[in-house]
Amino acid sequence: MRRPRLFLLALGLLAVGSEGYAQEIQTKMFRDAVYYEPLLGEPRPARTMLLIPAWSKEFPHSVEPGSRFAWQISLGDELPILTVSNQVLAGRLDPGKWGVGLWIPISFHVIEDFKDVSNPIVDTDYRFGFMVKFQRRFEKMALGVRFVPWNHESTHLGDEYTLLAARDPAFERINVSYENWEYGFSLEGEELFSEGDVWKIRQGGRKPLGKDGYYSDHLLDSEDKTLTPSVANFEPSVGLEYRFSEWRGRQAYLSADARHQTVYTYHQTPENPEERQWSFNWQIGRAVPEGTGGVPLKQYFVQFYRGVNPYGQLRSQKDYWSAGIGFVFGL
Amino acid sequence: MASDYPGRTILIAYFFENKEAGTTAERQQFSDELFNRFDAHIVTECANAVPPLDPSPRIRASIAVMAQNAPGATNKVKARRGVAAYLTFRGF
Repeated sequence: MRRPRLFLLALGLLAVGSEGYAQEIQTKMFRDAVYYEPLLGEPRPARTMLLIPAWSKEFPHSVEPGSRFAWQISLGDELPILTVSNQVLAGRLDPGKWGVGLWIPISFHVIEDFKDVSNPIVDTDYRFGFMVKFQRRFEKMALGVRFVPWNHESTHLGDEYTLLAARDPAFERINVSYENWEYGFSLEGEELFSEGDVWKIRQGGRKPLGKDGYYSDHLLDSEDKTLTPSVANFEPSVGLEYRFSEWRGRQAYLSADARHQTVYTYHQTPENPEERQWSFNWQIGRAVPEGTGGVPLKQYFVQFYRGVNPYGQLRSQKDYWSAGIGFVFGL
Repeated sequence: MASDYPGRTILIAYFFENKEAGTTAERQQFSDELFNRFDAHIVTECANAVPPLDPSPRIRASIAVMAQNAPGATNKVKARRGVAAYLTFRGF
């Protein structure tokens, strides 16, 4: 933990440079700033999103076989706490300016299955943590850093889904709950191909803080340590985004996120070792330019996801897919 | 570059964003940043307008405040929207 923190601090000081200190340093409480916005195609950002109509691959304990109509809801936001910048003016940073701030990201992620009896909520995941974001803008590009020193995720299978799944004697209720740290680097710029276009390249990663991995070593209804903890816990990610020139108040965009995820394997043996799989999330859509306020519908898009199931204990399912039409709301 | 925008317009713009008057130094920096962000774009857009305009500092400041509050992916797009609003106001 110490080395990434020192590295981020050194990078921050390097990027701030000396010229910024000749200007007014502004500290603002509870004011948002666009220093390191999540990629539009990031699969689990703290934002309010509906994916409907949407379809999904069969879940591990589904009663009815085959793909299904399953909508997804995310509710969340990055709550701004404090920002410090050498720019007084609101909006994106101008060349030579830098900003750093503290946010509290909070989000809930739900998926509901409309095929099995009683349309069960399959899973709900809760996330909250602390996040430091930094950006320094140069003449044509901006460098950004996101560091989450502490984040908690608690996951919960839906009770109706669990009742149906419990018909299978082999079903186990796993407690997927952990604290983790996370980092991200961003390089972004504009006018790559045409006036008004915007591009972003991201690299990041996350890892649980504890040595016990992503889930408990015992079932929820037992103290017996019958589960093998996750081993390959570091999950690196990369992302790309290109926003075309604005047309009628919105930018068409392509956004892709790839992360090397652990396939939770609750009973690892030499014959059944833990695996990893690259998970991909693609979005094509239209979004308001970054930092635009007063437009409740921020983006609409078509999304396709393939890889490890992103929901709670169902992360034991690889080669999962979901697809749908999405809408992101905000103020 | 140092801004030539009138202080009264900058006071209104600063108050609009920050809900307070700020210090003289803060408003001056705000003014300089607003000028550096938009003024060159405003001058270019006004020169390309029909008929071409040579706006005073007071008018450029007003357009810059509108640009700051306009939607847009780039400063140039925001400035264009500010100039368009001014041209509409003038009846051009």
